[in-house]
Amino acid sequence: MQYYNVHSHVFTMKNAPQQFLSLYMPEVAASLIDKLTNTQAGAYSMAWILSKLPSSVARRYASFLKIGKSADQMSVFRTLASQYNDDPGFKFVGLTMYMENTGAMNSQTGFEGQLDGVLDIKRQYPDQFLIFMGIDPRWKGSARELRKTVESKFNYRLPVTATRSVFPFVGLKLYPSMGFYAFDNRLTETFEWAADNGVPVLSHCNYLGGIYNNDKTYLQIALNPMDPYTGKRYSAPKYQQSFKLGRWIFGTNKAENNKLSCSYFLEPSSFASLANYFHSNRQLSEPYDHDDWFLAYRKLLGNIPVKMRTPLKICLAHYGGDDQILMENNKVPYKAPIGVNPQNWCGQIRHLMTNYEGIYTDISYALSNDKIHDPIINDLENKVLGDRILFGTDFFLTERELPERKDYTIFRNKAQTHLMTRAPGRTAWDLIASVNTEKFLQSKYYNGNVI
Amino acid sequence: MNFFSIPAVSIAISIVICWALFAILCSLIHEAMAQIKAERGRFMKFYLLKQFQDLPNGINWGEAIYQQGNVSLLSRDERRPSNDIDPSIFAKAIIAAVANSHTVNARLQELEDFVNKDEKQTLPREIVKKEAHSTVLDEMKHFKNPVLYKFNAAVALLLPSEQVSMFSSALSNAVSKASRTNNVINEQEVYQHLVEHLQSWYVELSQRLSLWYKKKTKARLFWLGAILALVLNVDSIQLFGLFNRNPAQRQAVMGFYQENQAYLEKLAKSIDSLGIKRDSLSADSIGQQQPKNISLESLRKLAAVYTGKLDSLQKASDLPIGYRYSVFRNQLPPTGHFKYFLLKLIGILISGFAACFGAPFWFDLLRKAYSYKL
Repeated sequence: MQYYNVHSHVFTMKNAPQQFLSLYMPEVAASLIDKLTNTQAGAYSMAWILSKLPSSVARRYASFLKIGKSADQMSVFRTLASQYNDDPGFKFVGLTMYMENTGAMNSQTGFEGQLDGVLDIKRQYPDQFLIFMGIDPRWKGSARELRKTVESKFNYRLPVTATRSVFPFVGLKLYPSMGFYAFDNRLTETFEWAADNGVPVLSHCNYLGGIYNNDKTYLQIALNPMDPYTGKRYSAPKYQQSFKLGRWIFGTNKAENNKLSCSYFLEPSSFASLANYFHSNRQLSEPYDHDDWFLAYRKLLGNIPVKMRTPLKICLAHYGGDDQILMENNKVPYKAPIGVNPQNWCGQIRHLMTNYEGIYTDISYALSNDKIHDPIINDLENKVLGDRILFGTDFFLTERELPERKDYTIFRNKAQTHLMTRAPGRTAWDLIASVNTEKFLQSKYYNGNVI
Repeated sequence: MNFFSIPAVSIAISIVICWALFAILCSLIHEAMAQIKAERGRFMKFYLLKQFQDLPNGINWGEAIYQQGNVSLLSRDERRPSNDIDPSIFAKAIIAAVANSHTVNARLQELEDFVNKDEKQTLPREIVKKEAHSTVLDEMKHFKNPVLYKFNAAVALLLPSEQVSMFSSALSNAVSKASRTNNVINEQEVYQHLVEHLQSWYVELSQRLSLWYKKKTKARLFWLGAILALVLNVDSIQLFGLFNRNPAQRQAVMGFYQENQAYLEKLAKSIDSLGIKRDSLSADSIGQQQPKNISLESLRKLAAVYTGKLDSLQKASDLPIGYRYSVFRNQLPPTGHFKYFLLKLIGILISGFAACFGAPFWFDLLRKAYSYKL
């Protein structure tokens, strides 16, 4: 069987916003660590100091920084692949991310530079490395330009050898907490195209975890846009204004408020209108130009019965986060999340999966908490949910929790021993890391083999 | 009458000798720091990344240059980028980076696909667009050489930006200089002129970088000098007072200088020339021999011999210089604290300024003074 890790990152600090570390720590500390680790001597000293600290957390941070500060994305990919040397055929989905508008400055390489870097990896590892293209409504000037750019990049034939060229991208990646909702009007056309071609979309969806937008003024405007699918303003979200003396002293109060507010962008419930549109009544209501083949195509699609259409496949990654999974399974006490919907995020994702066939989830990052392994295996036995739970690790961000090899082998060993009741002859590992993931990835651009 | 027997002259000369010796010490420490941090290579990379940040096209061509094999192979460690990038290597790397960029190739392929689309699949309103695009593609196809073809495509298909205008003007310049036979352009010459144009741009940039680096070094030497002066009590005002009161100490310092003049001047010159050659990057020294890298180990040996000499001077002159004389160790005078600290601060700042001028400046001054006959 072909196994996949559907969620990994190979970006380096050069592809991330220049003030990336300041999203997670006081600016002074972030700047110091950044400057120190930019020099060889500084990086060695930093690694040495962290390795001498009693806590293993420090050692893991050292490992995280070491990977993040790699020379290029190729080195990060090689580090990832080397963790799976017991299965050399393992395939990895590398998620690129548009991080140019996070309020933490733009990146050193630029987003196109990041894409160029992953395409270099694809040329060397065409069958092992599958790329999801990061998209953001702010990347291009209009919805049409965004769709055309995406389409053009997907249709590019990347030359691998003199006799072989491949489609470079197989999916789209969203990171809404950088300051937009998945229902953003500027993304609709691209999603229409994705649905029509079976292209999967993977969105970050971890409660209070990950990268966020650190621009308060921008957030105050961006939190309440129009939802084009309901035709109403999304007015419930409110900018979070809390004050804690400790955070104020360390200068992280504003950043914390921004992080909390960005939670609204990720909330699974905010995907409901989009999911509903793509799974129930995707009709073309606007008048169209008869010369525009794309609109004509959409009109034609509108006439095809709903059941015959490919739904938009969206994976709400991380299953909401490990704490949310445990909460949903009554392993920890319930605590209402910040958001429009008071239900925990794992519950919200389950609800969406139950109602819409195109909604998937993955267990990346959450996987490092071994308490979630049993609930996940139970969910795999669930007829409704079990075919749409995917395996991913969130390398290298998860290095802060657990080394990749350990993270993956602990879960794999457990899942391999669980024989599926509802799918005889298959283990939970076969289902989550192979069958489900391959179904999710199938599209015009990937049919189980790189085309 | 002996010129050096005039007290004011001998005081001034003694002070200048102290400054020169102090400047050598600061330069040695600064050079060691620069080597540990691979400062020059990083400084150069920082500015190349800044100059080549192409925001409209979302790509940093500088980063792409450093990813090119012939540039990345110059350094073993990414954190120690080379500052010895030959202008011709640079020019060829940037041409290759632009021509091989996936961004450019994807756009070119899109254009080719559109132009080569089957007539039947072409919508009526696309016909005019197709003709226009076909003309653009035909113009690009003037170049048979794939690198020039793609470089030309980059200039035509990328969004306008400072960097793209630079590539565009370099290419136009190269095309205008190249010869033609039967209206067919000599592509080898175009490539050669393109390389030359980019090479000369790089040489100019590196000259500017040298100036910027020297400015930065001066500022750093000032701060380094001030801190060292504070820690080691190199207080110019105190030294002035001392030399004013004790002719024997003046004589000891001047004697030390005369005895070691050749060694000191050579040392100062070698540290400085090391700085100049390496600061000016490889581009300044086209056709010249590349500067020999002085390793950290040899710097350490130089510093050991030099501090040995300073120790001998210390013993001979009994100057109040060294950590045991610093404000951190010494007892304060019973009264006049404000005046004491103010004079100390001024004395230390003067020493800092002396350090930032560099040892060769002071030795040059001394040489002129010693060549003066009354």
